[in-house]
Amino acid sequence: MQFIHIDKYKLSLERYGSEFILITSVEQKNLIPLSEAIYKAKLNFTEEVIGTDDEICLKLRSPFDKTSIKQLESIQLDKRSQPNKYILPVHFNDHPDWRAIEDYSRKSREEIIDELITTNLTFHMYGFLPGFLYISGLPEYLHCPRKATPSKRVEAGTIAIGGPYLGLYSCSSPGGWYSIGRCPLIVFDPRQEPPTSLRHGDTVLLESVSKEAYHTHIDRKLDSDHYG
Amino acid sequence: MGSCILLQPGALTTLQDNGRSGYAQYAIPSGGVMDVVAAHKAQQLVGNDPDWPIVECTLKGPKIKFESETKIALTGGDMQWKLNGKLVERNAVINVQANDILSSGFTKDQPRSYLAISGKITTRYHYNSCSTYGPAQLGHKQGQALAAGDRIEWVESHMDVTNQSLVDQNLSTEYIHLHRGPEYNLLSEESKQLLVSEQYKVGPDSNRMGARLLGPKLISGTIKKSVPVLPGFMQLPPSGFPIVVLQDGQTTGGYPRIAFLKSQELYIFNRLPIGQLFRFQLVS
Repeated sequence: MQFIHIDKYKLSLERYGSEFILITSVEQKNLIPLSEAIYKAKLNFTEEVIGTDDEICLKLRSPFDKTSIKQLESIQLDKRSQPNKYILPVHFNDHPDWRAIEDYSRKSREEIIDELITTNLTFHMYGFLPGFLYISGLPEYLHCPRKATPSKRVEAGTIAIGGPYLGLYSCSSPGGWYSIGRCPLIVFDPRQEPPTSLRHGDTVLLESVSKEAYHTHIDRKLDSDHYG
Repeated sequence: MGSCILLQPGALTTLQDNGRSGYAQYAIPSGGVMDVVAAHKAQQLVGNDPDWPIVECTLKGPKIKFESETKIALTGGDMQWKLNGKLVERNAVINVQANDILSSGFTKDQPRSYLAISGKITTRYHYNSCSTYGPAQLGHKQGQALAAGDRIEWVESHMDVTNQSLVDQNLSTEYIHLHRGPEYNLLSEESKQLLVSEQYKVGPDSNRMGARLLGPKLISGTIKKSVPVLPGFMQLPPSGFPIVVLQDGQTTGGYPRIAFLKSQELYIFNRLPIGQLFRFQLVS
């Protein structure tokens, strides 16, 4: 193990042969903003950068040496004056999962929707599957534990609750979160580079839309501040 | 231009290349050929660039009618490849003519077999790779496997330089090399022993995302939050049966990462026939 500094982060670094490196925070800081900065730096010795709250994994393409450490330590996080704001239209449907959420939170579907559309949520990270969004900021009474047995298929565009996060499934997949609605926008676009523009810390607002409005927005792309 | 048409698709026949690296940040797995050495060997035999598209066949091979003359090579598992009903050699260049029929059956050994066609197959690229990845509709046919009636088309072309092909390490699949993972020490002492002393096999519900292992149940502590994972990582879910994350696997996970296989050696693990017993050997 060795210690390094990047910007304001005190970090420990563990090497796993020539395969990969794990970076953790000595001060238990959240590492997602740092992982975005390392990814953006496109260091020649990294093949992949994967960031989670507590750990950054660098898959190595070439030997990791003193120069690599210098390159890492010279990274600066870009200072954004303010986060971008994204509005996600959501058709809150009558998915059977609502019952479990109502039971857990002891609130009605209407009360929950009212709270969700008036809360400033925050984009947290990608993970699980391509373009799966972890959005934080849910009131604590909605932190439902994940399903014991995952559903076999959750449709692309589904908005769901799992633990402390609101999730958006960009692809259809099995899933263990509770579905509450559908977002018609394309949030993750494999024809784009980068495939999605959301960054850690961006503000996410939900807007309740009717079934008809849901259909008029279908296949439109997510854009900051508006969705038209 | 050359072409061929699939008469029967086989169990899971897809177009692959070396995958799309550099996008795990967005939870996009690298994907790509599961047996890089066999795939590159086939490409080399027909004079192709090792990163050009190649046909990967899983468990049961396809039946293909060629519509033009070309050279092909077959490597990997023994799917009893036949040209116009006659058995053909693997790991060799085969000349095919228009109207020739290439057929195959269930593999007799390794789960994957590769068909390289001389030339560059015309396909669709997402993030510099045609590798078929269903969940996000990436690559050839927007992530779908090849089906009966699908045509594969290619542009005749070859590499002028000799390929730097990977050397087959020729390691047996009796022992699979394993390294201690970040959460190795969460394993109970008894489980650390069982992992290397007892035999395991790849279970039938394995796929390109992960290999579910069957063998002695292991016990470990848990982790609180999701952490990064890469192809080759061995996770231990609460069931106690390890999962080896493969080419199309998730990029984060909430299970202890008890061990890992080197990415350069993962192809050897991927050669294990389903149900064949093997042992892990811990190397440092």
